[in-house]
Amino acid sequence: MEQVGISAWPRTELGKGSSGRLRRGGFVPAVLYGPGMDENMCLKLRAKDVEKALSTHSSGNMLVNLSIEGGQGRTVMFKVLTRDPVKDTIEHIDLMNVLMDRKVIAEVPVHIVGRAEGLAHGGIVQQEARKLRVECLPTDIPESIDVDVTSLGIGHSIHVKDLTLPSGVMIKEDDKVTIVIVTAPTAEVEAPKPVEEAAATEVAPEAGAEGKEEKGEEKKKGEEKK
Amino acid sequence: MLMPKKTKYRKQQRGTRAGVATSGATLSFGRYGLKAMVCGWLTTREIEAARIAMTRHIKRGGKIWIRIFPDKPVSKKPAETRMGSGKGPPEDWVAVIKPGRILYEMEGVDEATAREALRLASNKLSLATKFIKREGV
Repeated sequence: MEQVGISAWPRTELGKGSSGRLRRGGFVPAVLYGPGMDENMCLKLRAKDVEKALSTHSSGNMLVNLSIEGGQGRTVMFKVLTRDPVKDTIEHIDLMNVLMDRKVIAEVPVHIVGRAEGLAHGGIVQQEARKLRVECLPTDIPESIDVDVTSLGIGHSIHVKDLTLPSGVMIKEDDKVTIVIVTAPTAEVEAPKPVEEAAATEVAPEAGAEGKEEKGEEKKKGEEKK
Repeated sequence: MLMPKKTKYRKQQRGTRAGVATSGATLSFGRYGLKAMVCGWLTTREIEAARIAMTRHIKRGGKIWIRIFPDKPVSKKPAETRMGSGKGPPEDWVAVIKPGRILYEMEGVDEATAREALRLASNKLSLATKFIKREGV
């Protein structure tokens, strides 16, 4: 399990305004909680440090040695990362304190290995589950779960129950969850034209009817004025 | 074309488009996607035209998901009508789009094909969009 070091500073000012000022200054507001802690800690981290740490580990499941200014160092994990939907910058981080002898639940990415047999017949490999939740010790978290799809024909699928995981790692998903399926190709359907005509005819009588009504009302009003 | 089967009320007010998309802003099904960068309305015709452009480019391979639905009726007064006399009849259906919203997703094609297909689709839309792909896969 890869470990990275990040510096953190306690955050005294809370709320929307101070968090915005932090982000503009190149920091990310964060909160630290988890087992072995009496109460939550509000922190700030350097955005560059976090992005650099995340770039080295695609799944985000890494152990972070957090050195907090004026406090004791802790081993933590990134639990939730909130990103801006437009700019894609990190808005906030939830850090979870980790005890090395206590099991944690982590989301591990699923990687597809090999070329499915069904692809030769025009099938499409459709990955239904991108991440799976596993329970294990923090040092045992796998980097990824590799799924071999070489033997899959059209209509065949792989479920959670078919997976073989390393020892000490327990999967926290239902056995029936589909991970990958090879589906038959679908041809383009040229259906929209009749619907368009139907829609146009559906709206037109209403428009015509209301238009007539309005014209009738206007005529009546004109006569009244005269 | 996409439109609701039935609605509770025939006409709606225009409403607001302030803020960014809080839901539907991440890829949920496919590996590639098209993300709106500005707010606006997308009509049912635009959504369908973009879908056709994408489908024709990827031909028989791949799968497409439409992540938006035009559920808002837009009314329009007939031509050469005097003002007043009430709201016009429903003319079109639109989807309200906020910045960050995923419009389409794609799976089962290589990146170059997906990029070109989504570029063709974005040309049919009246909003600024961005090609995105899932990281770490």
